[in-house]
Amino acid sequence: MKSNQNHSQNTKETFTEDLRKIIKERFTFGQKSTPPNDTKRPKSGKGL
Amino acid sequence: MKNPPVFLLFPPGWIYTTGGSNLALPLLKGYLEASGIETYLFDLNIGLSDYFKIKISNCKIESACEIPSLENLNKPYYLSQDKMSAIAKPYGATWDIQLGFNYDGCSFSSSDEIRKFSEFNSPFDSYYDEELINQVEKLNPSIIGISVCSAAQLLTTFQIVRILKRTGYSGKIILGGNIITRLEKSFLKDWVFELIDGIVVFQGEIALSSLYFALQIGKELDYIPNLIWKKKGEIKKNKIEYLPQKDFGRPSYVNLSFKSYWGINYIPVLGSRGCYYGKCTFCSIPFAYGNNGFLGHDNPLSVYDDMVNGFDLSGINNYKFMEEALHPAILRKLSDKIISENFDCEFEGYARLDSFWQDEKFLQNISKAGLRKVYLGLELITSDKRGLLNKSDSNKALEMLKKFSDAGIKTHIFTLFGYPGTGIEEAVNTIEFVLQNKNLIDTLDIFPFYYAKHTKVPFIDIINNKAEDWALEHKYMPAIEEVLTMAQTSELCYQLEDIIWNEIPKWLHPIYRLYSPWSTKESNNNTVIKEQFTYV
Repeated sequence: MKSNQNHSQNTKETFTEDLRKIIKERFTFGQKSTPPNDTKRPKSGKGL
Repeated sequence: MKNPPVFLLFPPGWIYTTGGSNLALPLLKGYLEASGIETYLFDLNIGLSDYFKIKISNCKIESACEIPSLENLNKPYYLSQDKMSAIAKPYGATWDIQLGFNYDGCSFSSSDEIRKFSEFNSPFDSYYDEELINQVEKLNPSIIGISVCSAAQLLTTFQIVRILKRTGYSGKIILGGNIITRLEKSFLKDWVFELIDGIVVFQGEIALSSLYFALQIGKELDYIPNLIWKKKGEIKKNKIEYLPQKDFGRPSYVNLSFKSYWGINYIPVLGSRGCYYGKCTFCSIPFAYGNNGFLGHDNPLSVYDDMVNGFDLSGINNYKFMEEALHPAILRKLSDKIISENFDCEFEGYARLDSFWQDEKFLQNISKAGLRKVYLGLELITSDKRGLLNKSDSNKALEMLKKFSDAGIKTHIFTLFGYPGTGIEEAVNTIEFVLQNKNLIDTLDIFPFYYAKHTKVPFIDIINNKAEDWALEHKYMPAIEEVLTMAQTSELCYQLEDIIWNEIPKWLHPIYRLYSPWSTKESNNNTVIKEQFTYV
């Protein structure tokens, strides 16, 4: 549970960097390419 | 002389990417008509979709879902969204398929802003004039009831109320619905009660019927349950009574324009009222039902009759159960009845991960009856922190997902990240779990934790903000070190959702959801959806 500790004291930037690092370590996506930044995504209207 | 009817309105602001109507007004209509009160309902939200011709055709939805890439799913979505944006833009506003209509700079969380912006012109004014006011003049209803079920409907509700007043409507205007019940005390403002005649909290069946008859004979309104109204200049709150099981009514779907709803259509039905568990610490849904969140189960045979009546009226044999959690007491008898009657149907509903779903014989039976998809509140994969949510459900999520899959029942997974005391590890583990088992999952949502009003969550402190008096969620600060801030929770969800958008976009995309629960497109093409009646 180390990754849960002290986040509330971190700046947002540090938290984001920590999170990105964890995601990079935990997920490998091999084949798929990230879509270009301008690819639209619908806003979330969740639960239905 | 004919008594004036009741006219029930569902205002614009509700999400368009559902296959059927909201159930609140059909339930009220059915109850009132069984009480001898002529009642009409008007879904203004879906009416606007027809008026502006923004509906996405089933043909385009089915085509997009053949290969459900983000690009393919986006094509039909943004054809309509761009059209809606263009309609709203000249008014300094946005109109979103899922989030409704709003002016730039208006917060639904602020009563002052709703008051101010509801006086603005809207792109819907001509529709209200041509369609709504025309119907009001023809029907001359004694009561107009408006059901507010999403925050976005607050703005349009007050715009509609102002138009009704301006055009000289002199009957009673009563607001109700989930949002009104949740706002209750903060909703009791003088300017609100200058525009409307009352609000009804919790269930409106008995309140509206009692009000109707009281108005007919000039009786005092003090005895009408759940009504908050103005008596001699003072706002008066009548006693609260939850709808007893014996008074559960049957929904009436007459007046609904079935063809107008987007996607493959369903009829909303209800087997139970509320959540039979109702103790998840983060969930505010039980509050709005009252009675600790649960009013009881309906008679499964009556629910079956509702399904058949809906089919006879509309030609639609897909159904969505709207209760917060399907219960075996309903499902067993209902499935037996469907099978014994050889009634051809498909249905879906929300569910808890409770152990009865592990019964393979039970699953096979309800699948045979027509259950096609369940929407499961997983929130987080099992860990030593998941207990903080007080879900008290099974820890055998994977086993259940496999059994649902084996029975031919699709699954939607709700996840919830950033709940106080849980953090990155629980969220990342959950995303890892769903991706590892992606073949068992049809769709998924990632929710950030919100501190909903009427819930009590430990380890966080509320930040009071008087300007946001109509907020449905509190802003909060961590009370202890281990809790994520609101910004961190938001970032966590954003980054993990980004993974899903990149890997399996159909899980999150609303277009896919308009199609996925139901079986082959061939069978849906054969469905003949009947036209509905006009009001008068």
